[in-house]
Amino acid sequence: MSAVCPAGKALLWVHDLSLAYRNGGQPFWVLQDLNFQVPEGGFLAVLGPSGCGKSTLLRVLAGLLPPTRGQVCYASRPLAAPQPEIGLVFQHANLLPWRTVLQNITLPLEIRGVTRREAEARAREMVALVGLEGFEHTLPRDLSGGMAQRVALARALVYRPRLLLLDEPFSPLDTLTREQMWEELLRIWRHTGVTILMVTHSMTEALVLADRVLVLSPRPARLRLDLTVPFPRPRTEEIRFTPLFGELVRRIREAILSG
Amino acid sequence: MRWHRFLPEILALGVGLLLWWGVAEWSGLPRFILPSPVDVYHKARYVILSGLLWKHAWATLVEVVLGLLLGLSVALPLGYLMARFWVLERALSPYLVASQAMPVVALAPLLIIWFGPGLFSKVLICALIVFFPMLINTVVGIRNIPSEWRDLLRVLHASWWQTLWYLEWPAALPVLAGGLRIAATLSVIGAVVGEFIAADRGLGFLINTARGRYDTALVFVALGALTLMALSLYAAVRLLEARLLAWQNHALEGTRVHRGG
Repeated sequence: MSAVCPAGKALLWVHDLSLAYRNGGQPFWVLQDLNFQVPEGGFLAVLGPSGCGKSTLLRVLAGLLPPTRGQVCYASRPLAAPQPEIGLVFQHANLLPWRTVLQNITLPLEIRGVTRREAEARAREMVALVGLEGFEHTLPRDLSGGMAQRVALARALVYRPRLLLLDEPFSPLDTLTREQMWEELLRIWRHTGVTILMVTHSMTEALVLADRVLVLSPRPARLRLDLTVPFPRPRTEEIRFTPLFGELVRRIREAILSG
Repeated sequence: MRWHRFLPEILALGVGLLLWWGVAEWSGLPRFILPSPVDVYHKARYVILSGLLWKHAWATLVEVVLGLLLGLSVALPLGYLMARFWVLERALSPYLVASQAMPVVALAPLLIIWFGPGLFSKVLICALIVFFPMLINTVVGIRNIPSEWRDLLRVLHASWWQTLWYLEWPAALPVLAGGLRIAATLSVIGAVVGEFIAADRGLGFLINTARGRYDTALVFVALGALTLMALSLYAAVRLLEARLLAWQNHALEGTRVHRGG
């Protein structure tokens, strides 16, 4: 923790971040010397092969794991513990099965001591935002994967976070549901102005959604490529079938496979 | 009431009673060895109407329920702490293993020497019998909570108290309920053992005195009452489960949504 957080535009500032798990005596490096920034309101995708440490990176950024070396700054302050302004959506919706859809969404507000009335009113807004009207009193076991993930999104958004961390939220879903969720997420992003950092292993997903794509190497994860996505917004499905899209996919593939 | 839905059970019960009656009538065994169902019925009628059965059953029930509550109120917090702090588990394990290896029932005479033949020693015996299974279930219930749920509560900035209330308690409840079901019937055993050794009331005491007088029909009645008590406690726990754990029970839910999409 040598570096001082710079006062600047970046909401999230990651400097020389390394993380090792200590297994017996030998440190086992998972993340190595990562440097990047996320501006307020941006949409960053972190792309890497399975098991490269993407989820670990997200746990560090959520304040759940302290970095072994380097510095993570959130809103120009060192990040040491989970922040009330940071939301995290897990790979599997991770809903509490004894709580209905509405109760799962009110949970963060209840923990913050928001009154029941207000919590429910705000949760209902979120239910509408993610298009789950009519399912307020359904239990998680009766939801499809896509619906559960919408609830998880609503739960993360209900306390109006400035930064939303997404851990491969759509990878358990089938292709069509997934594409539908992309549109939803982009709509929510426009609507709320939240800053998003999404971890994914799908190149298409990263290129369709993000402003910028960071490509990580297999473990230990190093930054291989920092790519600004040139497609203008709002984006249409059509961009996936352009030569430029194919060219970008090729560059990402090369970045992952080189080395 | 569609009684014919229970026809197999009713038939089996009838056949059983008939067999019992037949053996008691025709085997030539004396009544103090095997009373017939008719004798038992008359005895039951008498002790119920005279209030004798209620008096003893009530005494036992009080011991059972107080013992259950005492056992729970020690096992739940201790189990929680052991699940959260491995140091505590390591430190207490030798004692717990030793206490479990020693049959609690054999401790009962000692407890009665120390605490007298009154209510307290019986409650203590019940609590000791209930304690271990409840402790183990609490530790397992809290330990088995998925780490992703814990991460969620941490990300949401929950205090330890909120984590307990919003996550650990409801998540461990199915396992706790399973333990409680066993504990409720075990507690009845504890009370009867205590009453066998030294008591002036309770169903165990009733059995003991009836045996002394070769009043075997009364022994049967008291046994029936004990069985009924254990079953009622079991049913009460199941009822509690059905209310608290409705989210687990598919049969209780009316609305089902089609998966997909």
